[in-house]
Amino acid sequence: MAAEEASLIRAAQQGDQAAFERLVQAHDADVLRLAMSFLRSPEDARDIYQEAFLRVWRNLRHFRFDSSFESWLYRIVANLCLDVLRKRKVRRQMLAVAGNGETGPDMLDRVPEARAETDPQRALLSREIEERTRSALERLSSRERLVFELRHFHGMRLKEIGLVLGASEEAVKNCLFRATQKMRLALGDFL
Amino acid sequence: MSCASRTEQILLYYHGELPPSESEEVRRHLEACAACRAELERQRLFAQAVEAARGEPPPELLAACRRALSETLARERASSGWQERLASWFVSPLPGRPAWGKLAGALAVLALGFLGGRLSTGLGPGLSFRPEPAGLRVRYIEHTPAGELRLQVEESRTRWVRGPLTDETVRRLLLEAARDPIDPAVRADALETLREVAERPEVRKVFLEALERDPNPAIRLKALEGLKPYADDPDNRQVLSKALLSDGDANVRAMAVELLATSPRADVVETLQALLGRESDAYIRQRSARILQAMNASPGIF
Ligand SMILES: [Zn+2]
Repeated sequence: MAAEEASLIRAAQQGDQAAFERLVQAHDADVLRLAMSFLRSPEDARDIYQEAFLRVWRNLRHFRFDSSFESWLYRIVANLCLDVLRKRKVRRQMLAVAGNGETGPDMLDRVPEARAETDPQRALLSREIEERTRSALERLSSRERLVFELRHFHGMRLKEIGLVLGASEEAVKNCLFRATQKMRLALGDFL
Repeated sequence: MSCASRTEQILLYYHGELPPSESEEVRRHLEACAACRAELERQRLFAQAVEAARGEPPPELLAACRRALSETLARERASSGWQERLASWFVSPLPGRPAWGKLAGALAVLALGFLGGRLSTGLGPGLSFRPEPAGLRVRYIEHTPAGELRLQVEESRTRWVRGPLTDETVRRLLLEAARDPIDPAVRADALETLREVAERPEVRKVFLEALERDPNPAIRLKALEGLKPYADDPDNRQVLSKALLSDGDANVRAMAVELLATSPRADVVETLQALLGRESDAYIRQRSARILQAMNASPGIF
């Protein structure tokens, strides 16, 4: 952990309001992005943001520097996101039982279509790749997506991701590998 | 190891997640194997594409989140002050009451539970704890350094009402706030603030009402705190006895028993004896029995 961050945390633990705000602003865009990509809903992401930082605020005094602050924070965020997903799943099941089953994007396991034509313009191509990447990400399981994004977007070590998810490093490795295979398959004809 | 089975290894190599010896082995293999170098290059391109697709959260959403958080934190800060004061009230030495320390621990747990639940804690369904339909609702209470109060009041919009506690409008709003149907933090702050004018009957009435009806145990404790100097008052003793016998929260009952015991009278004996028959909390039973003994009254046959 950067020394600067450690001293911010200590100041915030002593009740320094400005230090706490700086700590929040150093991480909150990442927290929001993670919640957004995980839950795909600005309203839910907003709730996660609020609840996550409230928990940080309430529990910061118990933070003992035995993990990185970031992985502690992401652990909170991930657990909150997983809660929301569990609730959604129950809701979906109830809807399905009622004969209203939604088929969300993660339920469709579409095989990527072969491209009919190749656009010569590079800008268009990379936009296409971006879109493909996003939709491939959406088709990952929530757990795979979380592992994948924590690694690629948040630069976390697999060991830390294991701490976040309460999973072994080995399980996280397998998950990342699976997610990568699926993603690359979806992008196959572009890379 | 065949090159086809190296895919996962190369992925982990790319991410720098191989142990040093294995990493070194892969590096040497890559020097010699074009197929695996191509695989590593594909992984690199893939990671690049993924990185490019990483979306930034919309700036206005981030700004809205920051605003909402700082408002919530301001409220949390405002109310954590009274929780500490409440806890210190619990540990403050009372003559002949050595068991407060234990209660303070119980209260700390309770305060956490309160904080944890407060954001979503409204009144439960079916509770009639609602003030008469009023045009104004106090959202936030602030003490200025000059000793004045600032009350944020919601109409169709919110505004600030300013004045000392001696001001009738301020007091009337605080009495409303103590019955706020939604926000327990506002009720707690209002009760805390009103303690200073608890000699007024309408204020004590609000304390009694909160003790009897507030769904949040931390608020009922707050009300007990406000009633502390008036434990002798017959109306109060009646409500205290009722709380002692029927409140669902052990901390509230424990505090009620201590308040009643500060001025032991015959009515206490009856209540304590009734309590011994039904109290599930061992600590409160023990306290009641001790108080009865000290009064030379029989703990009864329970
Ligand atoms: Zn090879």
